[in-house]
Amino acid sequence: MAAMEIQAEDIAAQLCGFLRERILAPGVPVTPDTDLSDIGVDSFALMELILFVERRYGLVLPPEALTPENLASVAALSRYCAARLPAADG
Amino acid sequence: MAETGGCFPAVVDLNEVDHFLLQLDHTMGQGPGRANVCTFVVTLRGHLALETLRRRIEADPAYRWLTRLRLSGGLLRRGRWREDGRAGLPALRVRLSETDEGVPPSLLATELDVRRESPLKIDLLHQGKECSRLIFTWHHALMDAHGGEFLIRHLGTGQARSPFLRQPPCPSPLSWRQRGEIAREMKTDLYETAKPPLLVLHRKERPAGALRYQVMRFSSRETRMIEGRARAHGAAFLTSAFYLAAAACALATLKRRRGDTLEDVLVPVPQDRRRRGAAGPIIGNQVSFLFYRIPAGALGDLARCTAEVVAQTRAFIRSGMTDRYLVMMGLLRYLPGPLYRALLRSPTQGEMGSCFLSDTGEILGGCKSLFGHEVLEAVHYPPNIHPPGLTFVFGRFRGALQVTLASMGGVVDVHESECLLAALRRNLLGEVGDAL
Repeated sequence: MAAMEIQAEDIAAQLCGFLRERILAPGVPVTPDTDLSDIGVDSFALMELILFVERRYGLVLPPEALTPENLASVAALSRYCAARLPAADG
Repeated sequence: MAETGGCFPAVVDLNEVDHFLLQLDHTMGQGPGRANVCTFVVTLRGHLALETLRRRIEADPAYRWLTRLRLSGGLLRRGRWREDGRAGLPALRVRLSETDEGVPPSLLATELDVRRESPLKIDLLHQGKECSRLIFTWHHALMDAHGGEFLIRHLGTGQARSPFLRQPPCPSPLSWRQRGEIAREMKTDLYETAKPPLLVLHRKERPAGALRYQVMRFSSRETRMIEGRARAHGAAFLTSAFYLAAAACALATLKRRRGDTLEDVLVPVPQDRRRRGAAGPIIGNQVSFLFYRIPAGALGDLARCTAEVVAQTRAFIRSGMTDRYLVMMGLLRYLPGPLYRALLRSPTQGEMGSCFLSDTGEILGGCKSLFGHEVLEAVHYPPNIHPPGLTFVFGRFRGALQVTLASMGGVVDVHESECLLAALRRNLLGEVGDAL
């Protein structure tokens, strides 16, 4: 069976789901392109998001990856993760 | 479901953290100085007339309800806020000052007898014609710093919408047995983390002395430099880890200056449990605690210290420490007060920690004016639990970092507290030269 890439869009959907379920107040809108600082996602909440990535995808993000650019939005973080995840068997 | 104005309960049970803070209040009340009371000072441009202030706040149903709450129980039986419908509204106190020399210490020493009086008081200080200061004082068992800010924004911006007052308690999905098991594990972890010897600055033979506040401010440019240094020291976006490391190293500097041996630093740090992105709830402390233990061997190296704090933060989140701590506190509150307070002191054998530290984040973020006047400044003045008698509060006002240090005269004298702040400033900014 061909290897299948995990798409950034799939990761983004998971991360948005995690934010809605665990971090954000009910009704706070979040999309992949939402600026996370605009919806009150502070450093502790970001750490929870990063550890979710670690649990869900087995991907440990090194300190040099945790730049303001990579953490500005779910889309940016998802792109970074997708580029570093090994292809999974589909 | 959230409770909002128009739906004011006559009785509100203290949650597990309120109860914890009330017990600390009892412990502090047996010492000198005021008990577990928070103060938040907002400086406004121009002259805010007392009548304008009175009209605005006394017309607010949430304010009227909140100031009629009185504490009952809490020491031997369960603590509750009960609305006293016959109680009058608290007097708004106004003071005049010809000079602009900051907030008079007497206004930062307001005490609250919450069994007989309102748990919230407001003072107005007119300083010349240039500025007015609003001094909000509330009991810590009523609300935390963020709750206080939400209330003040609500009062000062004339929002017609009712505020999100409190989160009604929801039953735990865990059985008593599961909660007992979690509490037992948490207690074991806590005893291991908090065991003496600890680095403390207070001396047992000395009385606590008078409470003193000092505020250290940084420019926006300096704040950006500090964020850059936090990244360079491995904190990445977790700037508060760098603040904690810098404060721990500053404590060690002072300890060395005294010629004392260094021990591990223990710092309990409150963590806001509110959902992000929306205001509230206002009343009821919505925090849990993380207990950092920084090894003595790391205290001479800021990068190592920062790495230690970041690693512990990751471990705390992975292990769900904030949730587990609340489960333990939820069970402990059924204990009689004297036993509860003995347990509170027992892991550290009464030391409680090396200091308390919190990061309140952006203070009054996005709020440009209150009561129709431009906000020039906003500062939190925390309660200062003794021992350890030393509390750091970090916060950013319009992107510029500020640190409030609360200390007891018997813990650090004036010169030492200035040295402590100088060492902290040097650790944060990396200034060349030895401040001590």
